[in-house]
Amino acid sequence: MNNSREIILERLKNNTNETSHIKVNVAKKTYHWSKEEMIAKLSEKLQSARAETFVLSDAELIDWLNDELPKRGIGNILIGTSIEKQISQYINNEIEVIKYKDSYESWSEKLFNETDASITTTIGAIAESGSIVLHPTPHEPRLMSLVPNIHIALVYEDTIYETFDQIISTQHWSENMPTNALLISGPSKTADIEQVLAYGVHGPKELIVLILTS
Amino acid sequence: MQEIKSLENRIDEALNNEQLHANFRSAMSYLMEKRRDQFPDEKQLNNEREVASTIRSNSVTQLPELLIKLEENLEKNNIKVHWAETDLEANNIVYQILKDANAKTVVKGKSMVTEEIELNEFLDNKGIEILETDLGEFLVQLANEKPSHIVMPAIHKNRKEISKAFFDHFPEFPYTEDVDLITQQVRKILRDRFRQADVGISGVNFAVAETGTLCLVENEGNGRMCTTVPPIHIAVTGIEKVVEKLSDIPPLLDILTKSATGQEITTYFNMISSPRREGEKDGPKSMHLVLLDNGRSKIHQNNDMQETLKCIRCGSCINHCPVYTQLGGHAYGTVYPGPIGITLEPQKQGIAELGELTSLCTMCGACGEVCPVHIPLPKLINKLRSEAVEGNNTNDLIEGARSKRKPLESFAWQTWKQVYSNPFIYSIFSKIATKLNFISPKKLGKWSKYRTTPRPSKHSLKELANQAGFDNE
Repeated sequence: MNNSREIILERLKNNTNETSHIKVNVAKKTYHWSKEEMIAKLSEKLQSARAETFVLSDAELIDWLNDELPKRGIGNILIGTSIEKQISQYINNEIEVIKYKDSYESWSEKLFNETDASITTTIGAIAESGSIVLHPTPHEPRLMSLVPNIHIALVYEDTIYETFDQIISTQHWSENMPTNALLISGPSKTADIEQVLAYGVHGPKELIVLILTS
Repeated sequence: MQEIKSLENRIDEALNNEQLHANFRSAMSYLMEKRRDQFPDEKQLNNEREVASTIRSNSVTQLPELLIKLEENLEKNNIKVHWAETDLEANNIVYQILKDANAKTVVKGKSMVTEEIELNEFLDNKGIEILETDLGEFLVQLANEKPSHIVMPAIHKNRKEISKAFFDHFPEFPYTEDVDLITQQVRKILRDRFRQADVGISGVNFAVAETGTLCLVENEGNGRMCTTVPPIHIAVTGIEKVVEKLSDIPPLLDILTKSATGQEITTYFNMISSPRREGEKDGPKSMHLVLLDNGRSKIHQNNDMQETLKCIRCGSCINHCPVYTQLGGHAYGTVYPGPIGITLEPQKQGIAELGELTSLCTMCGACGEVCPVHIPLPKLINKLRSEAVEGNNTNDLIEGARSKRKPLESFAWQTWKQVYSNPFIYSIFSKIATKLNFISPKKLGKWSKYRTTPRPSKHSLKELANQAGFDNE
């Protein structure tokens, strides 16, 4: 097998073309949006991809959940251990709080078949494209934003960036990439049959983004 | 398996299939319009193409160094790297990983490279169940067909055909042609399969050398399922997909999704840098990357053709190709159809084998105009055509050069060259042609099969110009 490696590399190195490395001169895109403009842009783009967005103050979050979850028929909700304490004790008794305590294998069936919704935090959002950005952790594992039918994501207003490039460079991603970094820009969708848009193919059928102001 | 027919027969079949025609016409118009809406400002588009093109050129010119760096960083991140020179070797590597893990079932995310190496057929023959999970690919697999487009695999089928294929396989579901309902039924079927699969296989859109990161672009979430749920993840990619830096990703992602499906961004952009780390509760426990050559390093050696490797597989050239729109993907008979296909495939498999594909081009230039990374596709196609008849067959960089040379054809062109480069002979020729135009043949073989037969005019352009009062010079 190593042999193939050497053969391939040898052939590639054989090209004597002296084209030198051209420096990419990219004028970094900046929009100089105000905080309000960023929130408006993010909301507009997410909504156009059929996500729902709500702007709430920190204090309004619990009330929103207690109001909206039953209305949407959500009987249980998966909450990561990082924000579980903040939320679970205040949440309406009728809603079961599920915790991602153990490794996935030990409860995969329940996660796939019996979990209605999840709440995760984000490490930010991108206004230009309408994306929320996640770096899943042991507290908020990867499948939380993929398997339940409804994904509710919390975005703090001061973590909204203008562009993908900005969040990568400002947060110094290249120095320490997480196991998985994700941009999510709406509910799961497809246009594979006659270019007709259909939602909720494999991932969440609904994405709700709560933009939290302090 | 489908019977192998000659290119000519496949073209005839495609041109006579009205349904196929309608499906492609509508799909291509839709994709062209969506792309156009994403690029309202021509100048900005050209700047963005310039950036993307430069990034990809740099990747290709530094390919060996970047691959070594990628390998180093992936291994640091606990992702095992395998090198495969041929399709067979890649298939065997994947099979060996499955065998070592005693794996029986595989779920796969959409990947053109695995189509290229025919991984499904290979594993199928070894008794491994491999299931496509992208909705379009899943439906194509059910119908026992091949994708007809690199981004929208089931584009050749309308919903009636899809519904039929679906309900032939899953009669337990009530028959419907409602796209939402079919989608939900597929969701239901595949959820258990993701959960129970032993291995997930995916392709790669970009591999970042700097950080050892594999990036996947998708809308459905099946790619995330395949790369997160099963205990083992195997990614397969062509060696050309590497880019140097993480900061190269935003401009490439942006132009890829806009060019491919006219989306500002896809639902998911999934960047994977390692298997499950200690303390993490999900994700595969081990990860592999298979780096596939399969002719690419050979293309890399040819300075004229090297730009083929810049391709980011957006499919934009295909969507804008008038020949593809008429024929659809299957008539090409190759994994990659359209302009990129007729450029790539003859280089990989040799001109003697597939050189005839380069005739599936009208030289209209649309592909070159829309390519987001500035691959001069018309120039490359032309080059391949010329290699096929005039190339130097001792130069083995493009296999099969000169193999399409036909004595009669080259005699005809030589004669044409003589006539057209000598004013005296030309004037005799044009006189004969115009005066004796009534004896020109009524049918011109294949040419007049779908077109009216051209007939020389009674008067040459020169005569008409003289009559209209123009001077001779």
